[in-house]
Amino acid sequence: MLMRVSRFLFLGLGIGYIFALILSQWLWLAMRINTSLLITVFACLGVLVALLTKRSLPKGYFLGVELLIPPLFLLLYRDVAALTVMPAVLFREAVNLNSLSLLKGNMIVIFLLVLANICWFGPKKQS
Amino acid sequence: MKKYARLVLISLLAVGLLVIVGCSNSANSQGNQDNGAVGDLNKEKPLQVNKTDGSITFLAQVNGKYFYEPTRHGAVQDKGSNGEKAIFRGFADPESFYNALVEIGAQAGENMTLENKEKTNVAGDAFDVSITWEGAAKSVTIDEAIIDSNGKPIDIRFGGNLKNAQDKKTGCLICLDSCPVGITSNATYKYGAVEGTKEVGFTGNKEVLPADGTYVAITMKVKK
Repeated sequence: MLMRVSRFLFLGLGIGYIFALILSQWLWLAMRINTSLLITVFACLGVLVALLTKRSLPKGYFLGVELLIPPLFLLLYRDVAALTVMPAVLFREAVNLNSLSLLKGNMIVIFLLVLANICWFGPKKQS
Repeated sequence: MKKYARLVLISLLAVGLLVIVGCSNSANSQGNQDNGAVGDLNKEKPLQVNKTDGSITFLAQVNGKYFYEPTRHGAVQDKGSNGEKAIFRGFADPESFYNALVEIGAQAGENMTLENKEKTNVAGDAFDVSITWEGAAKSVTIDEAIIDSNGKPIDIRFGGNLKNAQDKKTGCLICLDSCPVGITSNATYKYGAVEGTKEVGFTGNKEVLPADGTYVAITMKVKK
């Protein structure tokens, strides 16, 4: 059960990142609301879906989301250096920890990414 | 074959992650050295008035997000509703900022209203704005620190607008287009130039400014 909820949580986080990234390009909206909150919203939605349904998802869903995010960053910001800044910035905005340094933010994002990959592709049998 | 592919994928991921951590560590090296103080400024005393020099200086912090995304906010108090929308997260509140500018003898334009904002350029005394930080070789001007996509000079004026600033609680100290809420704003563009007509975009200059999180001192001196 815990593994299933974790998988949906991480899938929600990934989908939230994609939507937050895309919506942050809408300047009018980005100047009015914290678009990174979509990451939190989708993560919560993921947990809710996991708790309210018994559905399982193929690994390809998460892999697709995971592989889409880096090129999306590169496409939107056209600068490899943005990969060292924006994921951490989006994360700290999503959890409202604005004083979080980039280093700590990136380490948390990486930790979550590794954990997500273990949950989705680890040796345990998928529920 | 499947195991081999997974191993390659994990190795690529690991290398990518190491590069990101390494780069962000280097990008943060300057930011981590500071402790929330620049010279005599700190979070408890974020604003200084220098009457003899006709200048004020306030404490702020670089928000690295706006090295990559455009904004219309130059400096905003961290506690304001726009605190995370600015290139510089300020620590002075708009009222103290306004009073400090009055104290050095600056004249507010008070010509911007919520009704005329899209047809009016902000008036009031103009400022030379410079930015410095611990370890900086020299202070940089606002034109060096902030990139105007059209390459036009940034003309910061004392708009005033204290009542609107208090009502709206945005925390705006320096707006990058003429603004009826910000205490000071850029007379080069009318309100809406960034979000509405999209004739300009402003980003922090990452070639000039220190890393995200670095504390800076922003000085505003009345132009003579």
